[in-house]
Amino acid sequence: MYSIVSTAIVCGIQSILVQVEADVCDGMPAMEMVGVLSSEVKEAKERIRAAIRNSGICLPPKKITVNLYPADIRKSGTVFDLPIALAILAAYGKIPRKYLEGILFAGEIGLNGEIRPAAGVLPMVLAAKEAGKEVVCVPRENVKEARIVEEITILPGESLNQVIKLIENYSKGGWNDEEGGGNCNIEETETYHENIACDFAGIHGQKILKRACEIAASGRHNMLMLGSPGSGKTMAARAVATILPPLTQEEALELAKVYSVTGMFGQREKNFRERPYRNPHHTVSVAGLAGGGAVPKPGEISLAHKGVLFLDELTEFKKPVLEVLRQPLEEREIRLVRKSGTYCYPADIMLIAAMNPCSCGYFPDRNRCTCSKAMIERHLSKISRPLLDRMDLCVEVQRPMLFELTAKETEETSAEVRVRVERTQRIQRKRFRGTEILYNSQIPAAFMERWCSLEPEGEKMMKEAFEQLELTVRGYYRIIRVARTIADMEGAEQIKRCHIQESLLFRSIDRKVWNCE
Amino acid sequence: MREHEQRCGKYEYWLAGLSFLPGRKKISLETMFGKAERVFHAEAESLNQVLFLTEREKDYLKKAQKQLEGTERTVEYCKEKHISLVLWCEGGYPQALREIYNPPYGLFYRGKLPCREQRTIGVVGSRNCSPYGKAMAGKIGRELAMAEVAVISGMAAGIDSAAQRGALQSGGYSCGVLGCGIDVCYPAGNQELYERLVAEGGVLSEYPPHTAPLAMYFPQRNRIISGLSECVLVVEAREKSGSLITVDFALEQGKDIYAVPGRVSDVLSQGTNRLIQQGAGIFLNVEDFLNELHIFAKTGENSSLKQKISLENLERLVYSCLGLNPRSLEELLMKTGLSLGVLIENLETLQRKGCVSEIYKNYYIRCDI
Repeated sequence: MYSIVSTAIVCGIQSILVQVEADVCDGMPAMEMVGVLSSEVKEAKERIRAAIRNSGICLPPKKITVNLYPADIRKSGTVFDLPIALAILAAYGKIPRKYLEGILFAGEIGLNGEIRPAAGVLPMVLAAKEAGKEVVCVPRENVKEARIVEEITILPGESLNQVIKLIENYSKGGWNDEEGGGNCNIEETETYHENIACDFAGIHGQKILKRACEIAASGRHNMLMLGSPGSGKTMAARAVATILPPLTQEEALELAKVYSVTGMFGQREKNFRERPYRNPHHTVSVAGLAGGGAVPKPGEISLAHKGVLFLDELTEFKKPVLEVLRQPLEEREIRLVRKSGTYCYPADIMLIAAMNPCSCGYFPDRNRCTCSKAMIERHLSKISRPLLDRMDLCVEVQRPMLFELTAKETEETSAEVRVRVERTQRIQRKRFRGTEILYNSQIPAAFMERWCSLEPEGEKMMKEAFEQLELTVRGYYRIIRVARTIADMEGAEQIKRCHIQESLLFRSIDRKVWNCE
Repeated sequence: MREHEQRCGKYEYWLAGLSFLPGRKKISLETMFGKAERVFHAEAESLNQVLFLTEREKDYLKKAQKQLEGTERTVEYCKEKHISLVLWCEGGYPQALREIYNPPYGLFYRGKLPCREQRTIGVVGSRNCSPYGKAMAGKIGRELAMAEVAVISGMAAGIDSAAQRGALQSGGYSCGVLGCGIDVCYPAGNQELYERLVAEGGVLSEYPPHTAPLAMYFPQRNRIISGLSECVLVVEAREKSGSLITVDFALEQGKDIYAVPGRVSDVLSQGTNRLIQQGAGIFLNVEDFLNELHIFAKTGENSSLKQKISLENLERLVYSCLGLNPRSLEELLMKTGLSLGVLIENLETLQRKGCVSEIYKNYYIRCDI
């Protein structure tokens, strides 16, 4: 007998529907599986056989053929266990075929018939909805992420037997959406929880650093922090993520997909609208940062999508790892090309990096630092010029003094700063309406004149700076973009001299800044 | 010039180029055999009878006797690059050097050697100096040059080059004593200073061209610095600093030592403060310093920038909060009590007027003393 069941595979952060066909006939007892399968899918054979037997269902020895199609896509992942098992049971006639119609199944099965969580459920549910399916059956642990998708019925699977009962119930109309907790937990996804552990108010003093953080957050500029060990660079980077406005529903959904395919959705569950913050250790590999593998998985850059990617000890990262950042910083996505196809992951990040000024970290305090000029230059040369060119702001972080730490003054909280950041970002959205640009940091060179008009005084100053500081063209525009943000923070239409001045203050380092003799 | 070339034949170049023999032994050898050429052709037997040579030196010398192609190339190279060689017995050789324990046999040089009439002072110090040391060394170099005193130093990074730059800046004479081949600029970052010294001052070395800057050459180089100087001034030095080797040589040669004092807590002044404790002269300003050496000349680095350039009230406030120790923006913000915008504005104008410089990302110092 023949049966067919729908399931899906994940490809990048998209999902493609796949059909599982099963045929049972007389012949030598065997189970054949075809359809370009990766090894974990082939292994499903053993799992399923044991799971069916342990669920108390007896299958007479027959020849079983299973086919997964479309046949030109390589099937990988563990979500096929459940649909294959159901297809076989239906082919044996153990369950009526009509129960399986219109439902998409996904889940891994244990030898005891228990259904285990899988990665990539969210994109699958979205694909199912797009394909017109009305019901999806996913592992119980993945129900929460599946429910983000509205107007689709989610059946929580716990074990093979329970699923069989569940679909029977459903097709007989005995399923009540409310019973399963309802489809939408909008309330949970709408609210924004303050992250108290790393609030902006926790940074005492450090006015310059805070100012730089606010500018960076307002215009979504990349930022480089320089400072001795223990001066609070990490804390500041963590706090920047909290002054960014909450994710929009659309952004949050896109991000949730990334986390879903890596099986890390649990991390987004608690605070769906919070901007992500990722700080990979400096030993991270190219694949770890950008994504990769034979079956590509998103890397840290994509996990920080729409949020903050913080690279501490920038000079300690391997050079190829840092160079891989360059393309996503420009294009805001990562494209991985494999034999099996091209995978595209979102990578719209705000990069914050921190480094020590020299290898001991105490320069320019000559009482503690004994690094020679050559050593300092070697330390700096670990970061390539093109990467430095992409850092819009650069700020020196000084160790706060004790009286600042113990001062009674209350500092501004993240929520208070966020109000200002949101206002500045609204101004930007209004300016860029009708374009794809969202933030000042993204203004293309061709539109500089249109959106960044300088006061005559400011223009004169930029001209002087261009010659005196020997700026590159890229560096020149970068300073104006930051000045645009500073002007927006004040609500100024035109960029004034003082805005340029501040922008120049925070300009990115060039090698000459270390005038260390 | 012709006479000079006759004197300095290839055998003299050969002898000067033997880096395994100390200068005094080369001189003794030449006096013993009469001419460098005879040393080259000396029989093994007669070399064996030379008492002041160690066995190893004899072996090396015998090996070196057979090789003249390298020397011939050196002679050609020196001619091409305008590198001169002056021998200990020639008139152009600095008299002061003849008097030290281990005078170099010959000096390779470019530019001018210090002339006999000019007073000379060695200015040395740490390579990784503080902005304070750098500013002091620059000022000392400038003022010494104004008093027409030659500044002798090692062209190293930090204090050495700051002092020599200062001297050249005021149009004075300065001489760089290298611990490598005369054609090797070490550190490479000092190329521009090297060129200026060649053009306006002098660069000399006892090592033949192409000699790499190896650590073992530098202590020996220091005896030439102190030997050429009437007195040695240490600007900044850690408790264990290479500059103190120069001081040891100077003491051995009977020269006076002066040191620039610093704060007790500054690591870079611990060496100089210790020298003062041990009896070195204390340097307070160039005029006093020169008076003690009986040099009475106008040093007239006239009055600080403050008087030359009129500063606005707020600028004066910001300026007064700055010193030679780098101050961060954060500290300035707190000290001046100004808002960030006003502070930046004033720092910018001060920088434009040349009173303040940003020595490192968001760290500022004064430009004058």
